[in-house]
Amino acid sequence: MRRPLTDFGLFLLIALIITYPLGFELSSSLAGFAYGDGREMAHHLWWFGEALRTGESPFFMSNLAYPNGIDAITLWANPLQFFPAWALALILPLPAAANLTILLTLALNGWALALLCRGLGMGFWAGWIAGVVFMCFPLMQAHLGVGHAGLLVQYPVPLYALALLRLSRSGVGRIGIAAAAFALTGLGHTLQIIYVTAPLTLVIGAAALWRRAWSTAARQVIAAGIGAAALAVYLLPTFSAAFGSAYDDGGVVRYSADLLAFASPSFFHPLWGALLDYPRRVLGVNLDEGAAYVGVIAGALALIGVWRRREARMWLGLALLAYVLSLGGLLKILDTPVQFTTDGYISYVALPWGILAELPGLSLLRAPGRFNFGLALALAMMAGYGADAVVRRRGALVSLILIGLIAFDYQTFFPLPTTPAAIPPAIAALEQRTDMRAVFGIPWDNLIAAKTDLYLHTAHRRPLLAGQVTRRTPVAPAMLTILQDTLDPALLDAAGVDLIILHKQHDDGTLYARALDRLGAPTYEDDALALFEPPEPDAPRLFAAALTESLAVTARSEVYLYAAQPGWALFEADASADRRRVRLLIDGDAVHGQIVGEADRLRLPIPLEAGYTTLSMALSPPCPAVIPSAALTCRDLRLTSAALTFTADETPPSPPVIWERGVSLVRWRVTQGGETVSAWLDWRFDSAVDENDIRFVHLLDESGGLIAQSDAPLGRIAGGSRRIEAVDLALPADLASGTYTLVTGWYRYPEIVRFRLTAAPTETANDVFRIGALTLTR
Amino acid sequence: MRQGIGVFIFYLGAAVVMTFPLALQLDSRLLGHAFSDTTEYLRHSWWMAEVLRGRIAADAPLLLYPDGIDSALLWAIPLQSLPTALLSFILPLPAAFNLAALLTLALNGLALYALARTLGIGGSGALIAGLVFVLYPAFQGQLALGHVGLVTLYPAPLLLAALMRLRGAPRSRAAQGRDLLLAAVWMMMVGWGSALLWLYLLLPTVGVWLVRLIGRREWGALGWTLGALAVGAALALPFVLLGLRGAGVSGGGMSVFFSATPLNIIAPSFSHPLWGSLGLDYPRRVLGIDPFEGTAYVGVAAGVLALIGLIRRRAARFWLMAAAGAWGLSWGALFKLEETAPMALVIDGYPTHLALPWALLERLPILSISRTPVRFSFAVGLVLAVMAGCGVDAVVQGRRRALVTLILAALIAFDYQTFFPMPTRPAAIPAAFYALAERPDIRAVFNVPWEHPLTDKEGLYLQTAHGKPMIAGHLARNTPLNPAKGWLMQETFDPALLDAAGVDLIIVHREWDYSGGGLEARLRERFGAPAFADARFAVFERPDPTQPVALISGVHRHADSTWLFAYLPEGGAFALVGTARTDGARGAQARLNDQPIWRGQLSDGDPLALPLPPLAAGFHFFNITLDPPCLVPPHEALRCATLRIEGMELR
Repeated sequence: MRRPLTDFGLFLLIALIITYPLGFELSSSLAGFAYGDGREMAHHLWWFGEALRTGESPFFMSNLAYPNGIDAITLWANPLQFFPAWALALILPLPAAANLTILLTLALNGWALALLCRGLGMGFWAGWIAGVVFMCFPLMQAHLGVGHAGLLVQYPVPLYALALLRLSRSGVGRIGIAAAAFALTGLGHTLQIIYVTAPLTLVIGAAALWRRAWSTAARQVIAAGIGAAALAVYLLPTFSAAFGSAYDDGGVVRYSADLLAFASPSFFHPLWGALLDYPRRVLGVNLDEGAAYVGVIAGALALIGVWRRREARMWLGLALLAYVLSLGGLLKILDTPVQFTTDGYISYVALPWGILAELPGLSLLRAPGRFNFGLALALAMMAGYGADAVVRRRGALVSLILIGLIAFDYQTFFPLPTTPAAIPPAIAALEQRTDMRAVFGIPWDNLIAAKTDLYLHTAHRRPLLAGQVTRRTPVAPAMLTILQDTLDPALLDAAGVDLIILHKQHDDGTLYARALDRLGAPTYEDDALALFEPPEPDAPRLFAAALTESLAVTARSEVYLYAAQPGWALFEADASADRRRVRLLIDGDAVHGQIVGEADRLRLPIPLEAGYTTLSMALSPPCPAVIPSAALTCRDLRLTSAALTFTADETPPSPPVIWERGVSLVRWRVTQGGETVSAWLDWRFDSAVDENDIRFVHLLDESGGLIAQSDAPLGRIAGGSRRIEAVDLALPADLASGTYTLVTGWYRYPEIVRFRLTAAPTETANDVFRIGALTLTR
Repeated sequence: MRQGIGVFIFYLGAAVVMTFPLALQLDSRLLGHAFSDTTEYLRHSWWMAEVLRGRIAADAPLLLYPDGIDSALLWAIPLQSLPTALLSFILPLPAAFNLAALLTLALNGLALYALARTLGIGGSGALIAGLVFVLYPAFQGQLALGHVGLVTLYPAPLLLAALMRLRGAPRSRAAQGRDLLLAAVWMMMVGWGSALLWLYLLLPTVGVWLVRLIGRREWGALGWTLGALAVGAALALPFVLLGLRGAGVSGGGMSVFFSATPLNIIAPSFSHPLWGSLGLDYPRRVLGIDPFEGTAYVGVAAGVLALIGLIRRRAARFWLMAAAGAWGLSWGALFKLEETAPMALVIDGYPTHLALPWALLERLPILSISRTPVRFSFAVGLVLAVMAGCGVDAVVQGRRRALVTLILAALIAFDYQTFFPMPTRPAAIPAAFYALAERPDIRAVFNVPWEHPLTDKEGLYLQTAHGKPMIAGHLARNTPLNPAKGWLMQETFDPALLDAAGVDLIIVHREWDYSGGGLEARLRERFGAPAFADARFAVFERPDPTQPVALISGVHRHADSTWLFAYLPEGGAFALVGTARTDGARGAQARLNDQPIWRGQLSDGDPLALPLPPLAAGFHFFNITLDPPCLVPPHEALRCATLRIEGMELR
């Protein structure tokens, strides 16, 4: 008992040294850069205690995304990341709880690796050295720098490896232990299962097969299978929430390791940073995800280990596998994807992960650099074997020197970046303002400001209009953008916003000037923050839109709209493109598509309910984010003279008109301008229709005579789709004064048999529906 | 010896069957498709024979008149043209060519038979192995292209056999030395059909052999092998230097087009009487329009035999490594699933293709000369033959061995048949062209449309009849003719310009005039009726010029570049002027006679006024193109940037 405790204490001491000065700032700072996740994680830690104190559900953050709240069950998927700190936060200040958890985690990592080494027969000091290699590996320190506390939970992995290797002997208990250890590896950060556990299992299993130890391999497969099943059962409730909030932001290139990463120490290192220039070019802005420095001492020990110990070679296999996968989708050198041309083709060097990442489920793994946690494990083991082979006489002294050198070589920051944990009293004082419904932090789309908002929330405790559990807020950007763009007191009031926190560091002055103009002087201001309380609105706002007059669409662009009551907004723009297919979507539903040539016009009536709506314009296929040659250009879509005109509905919406075959008309409107009458139609299709299903719009005179018509197929449309169209009918020049009726319906070609009308809000005949009338006075 | 002759005759018979009905039309038809290189190679053989006979001087400017093309390359790869040239001393040229091809195929089989025997494979196995090597579809595809040099493969199995013997049981130094020398000679000869065979055949086979020796730490055998290869390389060096000296090989690229997909080895020819009738879709998608370069079908019968060999004979497994290596290299630089274009994908916003090891290897010196990685399937054929031989050796035993062997041979021959019948083309040349040989007043002939490669090949073949110098012509691939010369003469048909270039006769190749007879119509308008015309050709004699040649220029737009061609009767100082039309600020490069003279940025509407270095009288070409040049867009949403020069002219 004493020895493990001593061991752990010594690893904790090393953790304190490499994280200097964190140990001296436990309560006053948070580990990691200001742009890291430290403050967001602190919020989540705080929420557990807050929920217990206030009787709220710990599985649901009702204080975020006001007034709806956010499902927070995904946090329960990673108990090893949050649980210890949740408990500590009940008795310690929040920063101290977070920091102490990190230090204990680091020490546990080293301790667990040492346990693995000794379990495999290495000497005491070899285990120590290997433990230090694992604990201090630059990737760990780099993730510490950005506050990725969950990723630091690596200690279950060595324990799992030990359990798996012990399956060379049979026993149900051993299989159970290995299965449990497997499950544990995913409880710090679920994706570790892919980044570390899977490659580790694969390599250990392959080694057993290579040795023709069939029964060992079978036991390993069974253990991993049981562990995976158990973990899946535990994670099942979190899956839907996790996948629902997951964003495929890409990153398999950006967040991958450089080919030279293994030889690139941190440019923040006190010695290497001063001596070497290339690490900055290799690691670029990707220090946290791309760090994979093997180190001089650890590397040499690993080489010795591989050379001298046959057992070390399996770990070399893991190291190579992890490193190749960590290189991500494309080979990078000096943080730039390697590009070449051959026979007129331009290409990058695609790597295995570029293909694997396209597989279902794996596409969410956006940071292949994290495969190097497996490299850390493998390297530590190889170095352990190397140390075991060479550290003989004066073992303690030599080992301590080696440990010191490794720790120095691996030092990724000096000092460790920390973020002040203090919150201005003015923010904390807001806790007393029970009249305040919600707080809106702007700029809302700045990820760092959003994280700061979460942290400030732990002091003011007022609901946030935005907020997130991971990555970015799930609140509709339409509302947040229009509120931010207008800072209209009426809209803010309607959204429940009673306080605006402006993050001055993330504003170029535009937002501040707008806030002064619309909201008056701030109620509090310091170097970082300005607090504004919106005045009472003096008039309601009927319509608002975030639209620029000209824009170039390369992939997908959004236009946000707000309407105080139901109505229609007519979107019009001059469009030019190189015969590109453009789809228009309303709140994600495709409603219109057309091929745009050199000089075309986009015109789409948009039916609006009261509230916020998003109109998207998407090119199909979208331009790739990267254009690989200056001689190539994107076939983009250019819009000019873009405008939106809103008119509210004069009557309440009618129930839908329904024809057979699942065709229904949900909203419609008739407008007249000059010599044209337009029918705006919002169709839904429960079943598929094709080119032989014809939609007709007829203008009839009082005797039912046909004056003008549009009989056209809407094309091949899948069931469950929506289409919106503006049907323009030219009025004959000699049309006499009178009242004319506009009707619509469907028929099948060539039979010319109308679809039967099954439901309509008004009386109908002949399976046509009267959508409006116009009175013409000549 | 008698057994060797018998085996040779067996393979000759197989070659005759495979190329049916060629043997029945030896002097009336030519082996190869109408698009093949047959006519080009025939001309080179004719030239060699004429030089050997002393009828023409080796340095006479029969091609690229009046400059000529150094034809040393033809002597550097003697097995391509020399056998036909020598046979043409006693046979008509077409018969000599066809017979040389059949004999070469039979020699290939015999050599592989010898290798198989060296490897300890029994008579039946060795016979089948040789047969697989004779009939392997990749070689049939090359035959259809008329690539007789590329199917001259027999030195490679003999080299491998000699190398195997060098590794054998302890022998006397004399025996080792003899095999070293033999290996060196075969090594030298591997490249005599085509220098690229050193690469396509030896890199996968000898390369894996060396790795195996190193892996097994057989340092002695490794030393002998390296020694043999070094001596062979030294022997080959003069031929390499001779080949490098020669000019006339222009045009490269297409290494992606000429690469295989992983499916090529299971794609039988769609021209096969049975497989082609099954309606299989994928062979056409992976082999392309015609089953020529991409053909690498392993076959059902040979594949099964190879599999048996792998299972039953440990020695065969080494050959599998060589086959796998060659197969992988045949995929070229970019992964393809269809013949037409490499697979494209977007990884994290980067549009890319899947790069393969050849993308790196093709950048290495020597390897960079290759533009057809699909031909690594030659090595697949060689290795497959050995493995199939091992398979036969393992299963065909007993009294009915001969019968089973014959049945297997028939099955393989049927399975492998890539064409039925073998493509051939008429060998006859109209008598009018022979008659031209008697016209000493004709300085040179100009075949049009000159830029069409098949015009140039056909023009080369016609030269075997009229013997007159050609304005264009080539040794391989495309003509190195100055494009300004070809373009201006063809666009203007100016008698003075033609006269200045030495053109006294113009041959219109009607099949390749894609302007729908426009060339001939213009010639008729300017020169009157042709002196000779049939379905394929129209021959015009240039009238005497009525006025001296003046400065002539013309602009030609091609993709992302604008070309200006000019003929200057007198040298002088000029500037290139025009107005840029672009879709944004674009990098651009100007070249004069293929030498860069300016690089910079051009925006829409920018005036261009490039002073040129002093120009001598004669033909010159200029072009302004995107810099970097436009590439095949790797994504549907991308296109080439726009750059054209309006009003481009010389001042």
